[in-house]
Amino acid sequence: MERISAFMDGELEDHDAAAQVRRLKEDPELRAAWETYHLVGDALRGEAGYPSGLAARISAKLAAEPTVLAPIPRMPSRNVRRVALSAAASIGGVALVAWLALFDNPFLPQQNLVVNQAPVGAQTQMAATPANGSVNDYLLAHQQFSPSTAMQGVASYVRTVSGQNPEQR
Amino acid sequence: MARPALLFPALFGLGFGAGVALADPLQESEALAMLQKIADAARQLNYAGTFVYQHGDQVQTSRIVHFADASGEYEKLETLDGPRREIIRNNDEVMCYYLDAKIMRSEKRVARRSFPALLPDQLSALTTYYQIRKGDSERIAGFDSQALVLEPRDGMRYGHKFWAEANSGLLLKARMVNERHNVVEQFSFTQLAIGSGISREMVKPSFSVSFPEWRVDRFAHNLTSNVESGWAVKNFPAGFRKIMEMRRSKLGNSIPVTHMVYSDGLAAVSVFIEPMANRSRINEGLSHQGAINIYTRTINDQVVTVLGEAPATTVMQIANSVSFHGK
Repeated sequence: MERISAFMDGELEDHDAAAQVRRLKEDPELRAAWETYHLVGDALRGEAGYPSGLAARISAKLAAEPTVLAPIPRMPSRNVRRVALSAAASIGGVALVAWLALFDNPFLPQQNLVVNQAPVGAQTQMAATPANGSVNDYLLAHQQFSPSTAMQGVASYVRTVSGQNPEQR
Repeated sequence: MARPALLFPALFGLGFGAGVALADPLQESEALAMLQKIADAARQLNYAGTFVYQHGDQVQTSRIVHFADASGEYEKLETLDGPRREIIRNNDEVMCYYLDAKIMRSEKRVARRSFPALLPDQLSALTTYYQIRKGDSERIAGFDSQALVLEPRDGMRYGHKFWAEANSGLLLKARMVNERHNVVEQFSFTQLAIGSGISREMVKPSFSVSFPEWRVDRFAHNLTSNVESGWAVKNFPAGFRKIMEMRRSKLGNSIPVTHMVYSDGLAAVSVFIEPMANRSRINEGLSHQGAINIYTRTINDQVVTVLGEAPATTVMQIANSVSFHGK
C-alpha cells in the first residue's frame, strides 16, 4: 500500500511506477483500494467536473476483458510521470479517470469513451438516481452541523439512513 | 409557591415556562459543563453497543462502535433491522453504505467542530430560548445516569432530554419532544460496553466497494468560496443565527448549490438553493425523514430546500423568508 501511495503522489521512478501498475493489474483488492482511495479521499474533494460513473464503466470494461489485460502494457513512461504529477496536484478524481484512460487506451475501443459522454448516457445515469437523491445528499450534508452529532457521534446519522427515502407527508 | 409555578407550563401545554422557576434550575456554566462532558465522552471514549432509534411509530435497532487513539477517531454504525446500511467515520470523513442499492455517499466535515463549537457565543441564547434543569437519575442499559432537561421557551424548537452516564458522561439516551410533549425521536442504548475490548478492527467497513456494482455519490463543498451567495433568510426564528455558508457541487455536476446553516445551539437548520435545471424531480411541500422536517419550494427558477431537527413551522418560516438580494 505504501508503494501505491508513493506512486499516487508521484514520488516513484519510472521503473518503480511501472511495477506498481503491474501490481495494480494483478491484485483486484489493491485496485479496489486504489479506486476507493481516489474516489473518497481528499484528492477528490471539490473536484466534481467529470462524468459520474466513468471510472466504474471503464473498470467494467477492464473486468470484462481479462485476457486483453494480461500483457504488460507498453506504456510510455512519460505517461506514468504525467499521471503521477497530476495525482500530486491533488486532482485525484480526474487523475483516476485520466490514468485509467491512458492506461487503457491501447485496449479500450475509443467509442466507449464517446458513448459515456453522449447525452443518452447522461440521461440513463439520471434515471438511475433515486427520486429523492438530492434530499439524501442534503440530509447527509446537514448532519455534520447538527449539535446532536457532536453529542452522540455517528449514532445521529441513523436519521439519514433509516427507512427507504424521505416520506412525503 | 412552587405548585402554581409548575402548573404554568402544563396549563399552556407549550412549555412556555419563561421566567418560571422549575425544580433544580441550572446555571449557564453548569449546564454547559454537562453538555461539554457529554461531547468529550463521545469523542474520547472507546465504546461498543446496541441502540434503538425511535421516530413516529418506527423503531430501528443499530450497532455502534467508537474507537479513538492518537491517530484519531473511528466509528462504525450498522443497522440491524430493515435495509442493511452501514456508516463509517474515519476522522473527518463520513461514508454511508446503502447495501441494498449499492450506493456509497461520502461527506467530508467542513471543519473539526467539536461541540460546543456552536455554543460559546450562543450560550446566552441557549438559556434565553431553553429552560435548563437537571432531571432524575435513571438506570439505562445497566448504567446509572444523570439527566439534563432543556425545555424550549417558545414553539420554534423542540425540547431535549439527555441522559449521561454518571461517571464518564457518555450519552446513554437522548429524547426530542414537540410542544405537546410527544416524543419526536429517541435514541437509547439497550446494551453498552465502555472502555476495554474495543479494537481498530471493529470499526472497519464490513465489505469493500467494488465497481461497477457500486455507485459513489459525493456532495462536495468548497469553503474557499465562503463568500456571500446573495441569498438571505430575512425572517429566521429568534435565537437562530447563521453559522456557515458554503458552495457545494454534486459529483458529475458543476452547477453549484448554495448551503447555509442556521442554529440556535441545540438544533440546526440547513438551507439549500440550487437551479431547477439541476434537479430531475422536485417534490414541493413538507416531508420528513425521522425527526428531520424537510420543506421544498421554488423561487423563480431556483429550488429551495430547508431541513432540520426543528418543528415544521420553523423549517417553513425559514424557507418562506429566503430571498435573493443580489451580490
